[in-house]
Amino acid sequence: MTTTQAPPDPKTASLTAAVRLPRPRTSRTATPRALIVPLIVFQTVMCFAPQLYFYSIAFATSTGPGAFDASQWTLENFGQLFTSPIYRNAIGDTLVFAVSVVFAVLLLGFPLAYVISRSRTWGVPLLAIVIVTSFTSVIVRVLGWKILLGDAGPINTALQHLGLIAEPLRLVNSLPGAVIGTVNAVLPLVVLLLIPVMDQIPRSVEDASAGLGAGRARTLWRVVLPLSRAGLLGSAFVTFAYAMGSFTTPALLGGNSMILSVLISQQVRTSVNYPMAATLALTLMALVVVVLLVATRFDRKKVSG
Amino acid sequence: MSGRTPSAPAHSLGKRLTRFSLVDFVLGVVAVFGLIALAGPTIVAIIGAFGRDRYSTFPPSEWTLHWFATIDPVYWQVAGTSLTLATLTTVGSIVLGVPAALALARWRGRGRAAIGTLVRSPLQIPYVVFGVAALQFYLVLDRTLGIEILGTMTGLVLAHVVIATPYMIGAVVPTATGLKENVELAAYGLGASRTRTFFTITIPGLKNAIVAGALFSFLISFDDVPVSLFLMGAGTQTLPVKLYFDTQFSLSPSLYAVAAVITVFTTAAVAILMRVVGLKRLSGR
Amino acid sequence: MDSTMPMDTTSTTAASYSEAPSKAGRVGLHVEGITKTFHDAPVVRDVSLEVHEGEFLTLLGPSGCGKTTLIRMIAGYIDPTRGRILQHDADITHLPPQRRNMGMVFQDYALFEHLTIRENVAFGPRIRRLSRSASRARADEMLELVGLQGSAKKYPAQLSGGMKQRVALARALAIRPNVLLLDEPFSALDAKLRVSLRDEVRRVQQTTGVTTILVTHDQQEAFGVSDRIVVMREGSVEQVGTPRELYHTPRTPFVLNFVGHSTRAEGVVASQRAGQTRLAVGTDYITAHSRVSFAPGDAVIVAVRPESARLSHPGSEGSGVNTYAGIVSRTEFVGAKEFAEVSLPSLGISLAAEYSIGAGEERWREGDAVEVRFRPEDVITIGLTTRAEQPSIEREQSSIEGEQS
Repeated sequence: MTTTQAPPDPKTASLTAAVRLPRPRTSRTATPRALIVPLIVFQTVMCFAPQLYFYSIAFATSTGPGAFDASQWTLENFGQLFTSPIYRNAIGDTLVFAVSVVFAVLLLGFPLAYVISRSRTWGVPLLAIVIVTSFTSVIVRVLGWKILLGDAGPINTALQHLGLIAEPLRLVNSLPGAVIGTVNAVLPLVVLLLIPVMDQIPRSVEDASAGLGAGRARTLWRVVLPLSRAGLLGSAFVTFAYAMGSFTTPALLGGNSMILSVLISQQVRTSVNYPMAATLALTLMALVVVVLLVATRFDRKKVSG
Repeated sequence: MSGRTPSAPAHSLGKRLTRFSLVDFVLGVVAVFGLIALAGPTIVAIIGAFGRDRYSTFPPSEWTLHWFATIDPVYWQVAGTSLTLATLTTVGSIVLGVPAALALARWRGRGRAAIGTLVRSPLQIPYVVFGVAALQFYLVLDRTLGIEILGTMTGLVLAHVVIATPYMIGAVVPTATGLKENVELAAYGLGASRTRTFFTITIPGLKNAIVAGALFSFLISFDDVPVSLFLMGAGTQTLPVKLYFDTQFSLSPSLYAVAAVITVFTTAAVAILMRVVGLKRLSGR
Repeated sequence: MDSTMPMDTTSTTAASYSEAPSKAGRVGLHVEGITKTFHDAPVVRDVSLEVHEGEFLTLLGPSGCGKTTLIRMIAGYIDPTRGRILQHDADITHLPPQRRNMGMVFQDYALFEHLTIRENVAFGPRIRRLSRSASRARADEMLELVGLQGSAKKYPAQLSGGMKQRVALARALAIRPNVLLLDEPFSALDAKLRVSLRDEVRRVQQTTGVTTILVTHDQQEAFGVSDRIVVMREGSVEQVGTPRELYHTPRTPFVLNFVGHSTRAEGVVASQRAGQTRLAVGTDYITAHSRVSFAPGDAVIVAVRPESARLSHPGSEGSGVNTYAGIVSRTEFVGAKEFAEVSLPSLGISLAAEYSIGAGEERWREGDAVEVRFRPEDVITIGLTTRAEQPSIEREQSSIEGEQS
């Protein structure tokens, strides 16, 4: 591996300096960045390129099940989004669905994360339960919900016994059911995201607030909540993206109110209308991006304002 | 747990200096409620497997093991397919993901954030969209190059590796970042080649993270519906997809029996993982 | 030791080759004109060194002086931008670390956590294709050398910092290296351990006779173990010498400041005759034994170490060279010794003196009038390259004529 005498050549010097190091530690023995190339090539071929191709089909014309004409670019599929009530409703339902999931998850996740972070006795077992349940299969959980949310199921029965409702609530095969099921699926993730956020808020801050005369509710609302804002916002974004893209649970619990991802599946499996499916996919992605962009801007405004 | 100052007052919900107020009680109730929401469906599903009634009223009036006996043998078949698929996917995610994670963790200079985002991007894509796109891709391959992988195990594995690898990377990068480079330099100085050092020194250092990543990859693949839905073939139906169809069209208590079996399997896997890796590491603390 | 050398602080070639002869004499490692530039910032500038076989050489300097970069280039982990490294006349500049047969000990020990202590130490031999039993034997031999034979089956996590460092040492020695390299190996340990471990390293080095290069910023550490020391600053070599040489004859202001304490002043050469230099400092003169020839008018840094200053009652010693009247401005008692700061108006300096308090010795107090004297051979002179103004010399010429030196 010996080479000739090292020439005092600026070009060779810059070659070794091309691997940019913060300090001159290891230039010859650094881990080669090339190790990441196989994965990137693989992902480009299997993921990025096919997606781009698929999105382009949105501009083609469907010529029957499974076939489409891509010779001319058309926007008629997008037009259908606006004209046909099915698609309009789907878009609306999807947004309502995703937003509901976000709110419900934060509502449940914040207390859970807080308790796990603060409680010495219950914290660890709670965390263990959260993690273990997060690994159970999605179908298993859906099956459980089908029992729990059914017309004759425990929730409806209990509510009726308590006299709160006269007739069973339609929970299963409806949008609320899809929301509930999806919340269940994404809650562990959010809890795991929020626990470090809670850990970082020192207990002494809460004690100080109490010492200054604030009640628990006020302390939580005015101290803990604002301090966890960044984490809550981050979790909201993650949950939103997750909900928009989630499929299995809403498909099995949503009944006739189909959200976009379910609709896409239907377009492919039943109608085999690829251009429409592509249009819906593009719309879904666009919605996620737009909402997240708006939300980040809104957040930034609040911070500076 | 982390985040506790040793001298701070005992501010747990159990014993505290300030009075236990109503708010804390409410917090506790909501937390418990959340917990029930998390664990409830699984428990209910398992219990449902033991019920006599065909329509699974809850709680079951009679207890039986009948439904376990009548599990359609097809389920074992598709379970086998899923197991194979998940195993192959895990192997793929290790082969592609571990070197990538190392490269990412040790990335010098700009571009690290961008490459990291790029490599993790499959996490952001709705799996339905990816599944259909992959389907289109396979169709094109067939049309233009005559390669038929739609419906084959290969086709499924390739697609699953795409969605599983970001999990492997997420599990390995934090540990890889913490690996002290001097250890590898020491190995070089003692005469070990870079390849040898990689396999005898670096990989063992990442063992726990790789195991965690492998488990995530395995479960992601084993549990997947949207991607498999579009890429399956006659002989390659996967367990979750079959369950998906059956739940939609022919809901029967034997499904719950299958669900119970699956849960036992996954819970055991998680228990092993917690053993090997530790609860704290899993939760990222 | 009587070489007359130019006071050039930038060139090091002459300095490196004419220092005290080493123990064994044979040069094991040549570093020639090594430069490392990174992002247009030179980290090591044109450094040349000779490392003698079997010697304990230390690279000493503040952080950022390039010593770690230099040792890593010697080890092969970094490519030099310019220059060569030769081992026994073979050019190893571009040889990868695997083939250089140098053992390196790192500051953070860098042990293989998943292997036992014995496996750690046997790692190098195994790579060299020694059989399993031979590697084991070699490992045990090394562990015994560092006193850890009882821990062979343990894992690094079970050992303390000091023990881990000894394992690292054993591991490096197990390959019978040509050169042993130590990169700030004691910085992570507490003070007491630092001392005991460095003595251990020195003992091992003397037992095995391996050529050793140590990198440290701790002057005491360097003095405690080294045969020769290379003082570095901002990428260049300031001086190479034995600890004694560096202490008594520093060649640059930086070395003077870095090694030990001293009182410093700027003086101008008034005259030089028969090895004695008369320097004008303030309104008085200091006489020094000088190993370097100066010309009248040269600007010189004059320094005296605290232990060289002798304090006595005014008038008790009679007149003599280098005797001055002063007032004690401050004293500080530190146990075995006492420090005193004495203001010397005629020289215009405040001199730091150090003396031990024994039975019958005077204790000085603030405000005491004292007489301070030091021997000419204890005066350190370091020439600065610029020439000073002449006026004070002319004023002096007339009085020199009438004086005996």
